[in-house]
Amino acid sequence: MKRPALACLLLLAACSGQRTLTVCADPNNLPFSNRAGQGFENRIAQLIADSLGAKLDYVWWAQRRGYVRNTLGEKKCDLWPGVASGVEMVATTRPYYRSSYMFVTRADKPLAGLTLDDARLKTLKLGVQLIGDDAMNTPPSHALARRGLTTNVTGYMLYGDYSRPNPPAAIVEAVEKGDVDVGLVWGPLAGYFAKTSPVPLRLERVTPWLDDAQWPMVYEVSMGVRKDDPALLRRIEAALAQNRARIRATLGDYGVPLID
Amino acid sequence: MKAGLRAVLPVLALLAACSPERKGDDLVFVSDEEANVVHVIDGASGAKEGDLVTGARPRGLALSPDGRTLYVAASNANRIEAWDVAGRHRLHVYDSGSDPERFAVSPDGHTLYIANEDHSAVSFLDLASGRITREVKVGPEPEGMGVSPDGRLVIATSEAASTAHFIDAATGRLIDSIIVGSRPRDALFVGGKLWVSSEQRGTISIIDPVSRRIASVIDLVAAFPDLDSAQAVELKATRDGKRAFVAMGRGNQVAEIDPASFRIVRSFPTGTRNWGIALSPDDGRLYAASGLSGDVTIIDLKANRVLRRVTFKGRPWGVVAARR
Repeated sequence: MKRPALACLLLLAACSGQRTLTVCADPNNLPFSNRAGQGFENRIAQLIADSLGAKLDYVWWAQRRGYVRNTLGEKKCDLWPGVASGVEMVATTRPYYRSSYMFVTRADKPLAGLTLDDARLKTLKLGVQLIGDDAMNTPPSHALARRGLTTNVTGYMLYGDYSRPNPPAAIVEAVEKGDVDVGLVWGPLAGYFAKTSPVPLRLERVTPWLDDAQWPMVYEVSMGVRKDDPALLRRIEAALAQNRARIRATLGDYGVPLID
Repeated sequence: MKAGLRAVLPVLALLAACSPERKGDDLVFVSDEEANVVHVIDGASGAKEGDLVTGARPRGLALSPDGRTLYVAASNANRIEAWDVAGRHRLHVYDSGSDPERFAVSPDGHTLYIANEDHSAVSFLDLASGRITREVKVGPEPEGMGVSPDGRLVIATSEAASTAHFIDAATGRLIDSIIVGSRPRDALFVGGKLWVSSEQRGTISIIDPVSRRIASVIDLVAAFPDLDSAQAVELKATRDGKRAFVAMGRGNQVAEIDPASFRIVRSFPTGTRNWGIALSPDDGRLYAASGLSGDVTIIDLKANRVLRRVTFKGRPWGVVAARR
């Protein structure tokens, strides 16, 4: 008796159609995501869910240490919409965009054409993103430190002050206000906040793109799923490929600098 | 005792003569990163012919251009060992710099280019003096090593930065670096192009070594839609450049690729997590070492079929085959 009942249940589940794609996302981290669904990762996740014929649902979680363990790892959700392609803790899809750290300066200041080796960096006020108080830091912070640039550098925590909206925006605002002359900012943040800046900002790629043969300024970004779900990985990859043009247009809408 | 032995010997010889498999003309060397030995087997029959006891964690293997010397990277002993193929004795121990993984032999046989995995560097080892003449900084966890047929260009891939680095062999200068598929594992020149495998993406980037641009990508994931994990690890090509092969890692196969069309021609099943592959000196057989199942698969490339599988207790990593 039990077996036929089970089979029916399975059939029902298979036939009921609408499955749910549960995405782990930060509720307060534009341009990537927020609870109101205004980030580009929100939009792209919707495109993917639509392609899979799935209902999109979110588990909101601030992207801090333990994020993966607390979200994907505990099977609270299926998909992490933006991870560095090379990470090992999740299975990553093929990259859906590639961006770069950018020099962000005010357009009204004569600061075009900077490189990491530019002598002007010694006397300018610099802002750099920092990840945390451990040894893991952003490539630009390593690049400045190894050139002895420390006393004129202000660090801005990537996770910032979570009590305010979109904490990573602080470094771009510091450039707007003149607190720093040059911000070294991850492309998607730089591009998005520059678009809404009250003063015109200049964005140029940080070069050399691979500093000291060790520190890339360019990264590829993928979606991540649990390692034990290769079937979902392939379906997400197929959906990303299918939506390629729409995804690029979305990234463009948000000012994300794309590197080919 | 001597008389006893004599009596037994002819019986053994008879037994050997009766066995259907005859000895091949090549010896296959299999590095075993767990057992800390290099296993030696006969290429045709797979018969075990003993072990070379090496320094800790042997991984990368290569032969001198004349095929007489086997080089073994003993990663945890920070050294490269040179072994005499014919006599199977150790000739020399070289300081390789920290944690050598893969390495490439210069076409003139004078220099080894060594990936120092835990040191983000490539070491140039001059075999005549036994000294490291250059240390070139590259991206983190360098692994794949290649050298152009003219010996001028050395390639290193960084597993952690997903980069391929172009190094001038004469000066050690880093000429350029490019982004390739995630977790690049091997670099090989085939028909004037540079092939770089990506374990994580299951792709091979075909790069023009002059413009240093990716010209094509061979996609094993698309070619093997039924596999949960189509990876690309070690690359090999026949001497005439007409057949290329890629170890597929946890895809548990070796795929053959036509270097003219970049199409997948066929594939051969291997053990679990096939990492290293090698061709026999006459290109008639392929050997595939699989770490998780602890075996080497012997494949006949004339009949295109798997001949046999030889199992060991440890974790085979790399493999090369030398003429006896």
